Amino acid sequence: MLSKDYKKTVVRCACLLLAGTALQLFTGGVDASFLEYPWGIVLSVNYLYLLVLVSFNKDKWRWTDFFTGRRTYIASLAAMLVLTLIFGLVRQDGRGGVMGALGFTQMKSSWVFNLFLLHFATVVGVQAIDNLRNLKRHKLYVSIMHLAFFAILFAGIFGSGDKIRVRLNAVQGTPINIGTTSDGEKVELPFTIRLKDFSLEEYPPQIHIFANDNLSKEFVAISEKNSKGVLGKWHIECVKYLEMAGRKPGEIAYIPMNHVGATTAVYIKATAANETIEGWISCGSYIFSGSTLALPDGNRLVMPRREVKKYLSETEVISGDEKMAFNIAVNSPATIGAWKIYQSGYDSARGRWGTTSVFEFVKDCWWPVTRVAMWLILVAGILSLLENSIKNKNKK
Amino acid sequence: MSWDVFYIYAVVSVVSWGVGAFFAFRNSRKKAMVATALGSLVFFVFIAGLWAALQRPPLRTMGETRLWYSFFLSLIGLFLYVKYKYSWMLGFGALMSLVFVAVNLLKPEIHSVTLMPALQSPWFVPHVIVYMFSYAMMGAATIYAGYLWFGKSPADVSEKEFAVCDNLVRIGWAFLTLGMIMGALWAKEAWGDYWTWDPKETWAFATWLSYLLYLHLRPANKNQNLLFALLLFSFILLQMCWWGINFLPSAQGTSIHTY
Repeated sequence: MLSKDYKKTVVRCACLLLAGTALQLFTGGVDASFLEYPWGIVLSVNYLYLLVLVSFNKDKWRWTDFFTGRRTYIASLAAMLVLTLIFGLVRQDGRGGVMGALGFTQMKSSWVFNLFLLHFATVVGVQAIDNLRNLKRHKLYVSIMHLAFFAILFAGIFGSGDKIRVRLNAVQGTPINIGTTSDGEKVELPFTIRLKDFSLEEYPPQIHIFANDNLSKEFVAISEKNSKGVLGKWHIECVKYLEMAGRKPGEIAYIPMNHVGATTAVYIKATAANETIEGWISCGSYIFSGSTLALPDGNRLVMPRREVKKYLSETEVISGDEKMAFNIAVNSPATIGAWKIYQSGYDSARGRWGTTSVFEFVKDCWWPVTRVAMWLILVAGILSLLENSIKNKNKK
Repeated sequence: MSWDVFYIYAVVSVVSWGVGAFFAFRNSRKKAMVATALGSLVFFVFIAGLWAALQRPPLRTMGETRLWYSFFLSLIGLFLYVKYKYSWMLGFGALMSLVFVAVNLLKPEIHSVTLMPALQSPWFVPHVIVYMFSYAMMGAATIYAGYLWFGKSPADVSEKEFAVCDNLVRIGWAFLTLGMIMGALWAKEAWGDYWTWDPKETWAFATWLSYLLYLHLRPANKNQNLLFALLLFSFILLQMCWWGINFLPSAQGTSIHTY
């Protein structure tokens, strides 16, 4: 049976659920735009002030039970767990119906989820302030963990109104400063970007067997002439390797071609028992068609499009009178103030011959807070491991 | 080094781990530790060889992650055996390692040598290894909790035994947290958002919360059934997060983490 205190927390959770559901039905979901600058800052400062008040007056004000105490913490944790599981089990595609009306198909804009998240953040925040006020009574890593986790939730909630994500297709040599949001809205950026050059590096071509409309998982990587390997019963040998190749109309053979749109072609010799098959295989390009090699059993040797190893955009960003040069690649964004520029895509039809690059511009003014908090959590995690070791050593 | 020779290393490792477990049961501690460490070393030689042959860390597919799971489980078993001197611990570690070795032997994954651009990050290796270590810890905690729950009567479960469970969960949760934060920092560098509530992230958060709930419930709660049930439930969530979402209808086509 639940104790009286736990019953209280269950009732409070039920109230939050009802409030969230009512708000969801009346408004159709949370619109984070009300947190846009300066309101995000104004509200967050007031919220922090209230948290400090709650922490200092929790023994005097009974209503602060809603945010303080071990049982409240546990109830809030359990409620977050249950809600997260529900949202994990429901497809988040924003579809309608009963679940959609209740906000369960759009986690990020669900009133129920966001109210519980805010309550959870508040409980963690009050606990973090308590930890800071009584540092000596608490383990250091616990205090850091509470504080940093609260900071992440705080920045995530109050910073959500100021986040901007804009997609932009840049054509080589053409300056551009207008991007599109996921809603299709055009946004003018505070700077202009010009794609100076785009380069794309590929992994060596692979030869697979194509059988029953399926590509074999096994393959032979061909990185140069004389590359060898085994595919099923076939011994594969590369007799000719052309990194840049093309072929004249009506001809089967590929020839070296140092030209835009060139493809990779290999002349393969496949041997099995007494059978030997040979011929050209190519993945093709947007100019030249590909080739496969038919095997006696009806299957074919094929070369799928080469997998991309790395792609890089050399850019120039112009902000006012200032010109900055950036090399932007996946996992290597450019940073300009609160903006980051990400390499998002490229012209997949043209591959390495493409002259356009897709960028995403993300503005997140609250990211520095989140980043510091995340590094603090990493520190706290390591401290907790050391704490365990010390504790066990002392026990021993 | 390739998967073709995996069975040789696997057999040598599993036999060594088995011998280690045998010596542990016979209370020959030094022999048990040496045999187990040898098994882990042989297993790591295969991982290192595969790493070199693939020209990338073997951390991309389920089969490859199972290699690390087996490796770390054997190490954790050894670590716990040295630390807590439970004679059965090496046997448990060996058994869990064997399960994942067997899966890799009986259903070998086929691996490509490529690594997509998003995975070419300094965060990739630490993120996955830390998660694997955490999973292995939680696996050990689950087995131990199961042993205490079903193998002993509630009155016989001592506080010291419960403390072993707590330690495993605390260490596992610390690694889980490190993995989650590393993933978030990586995601910010790769995609511009540190958290998008992608199904994988949602289930990772649920798993993290569930173990956190255990850690907060434990100090003042003596209800063994509730605590053990929560641990087992948390491990089920961990499985959902690890591979279950690949089959979860709500995650199909919506997660960038499915592979």
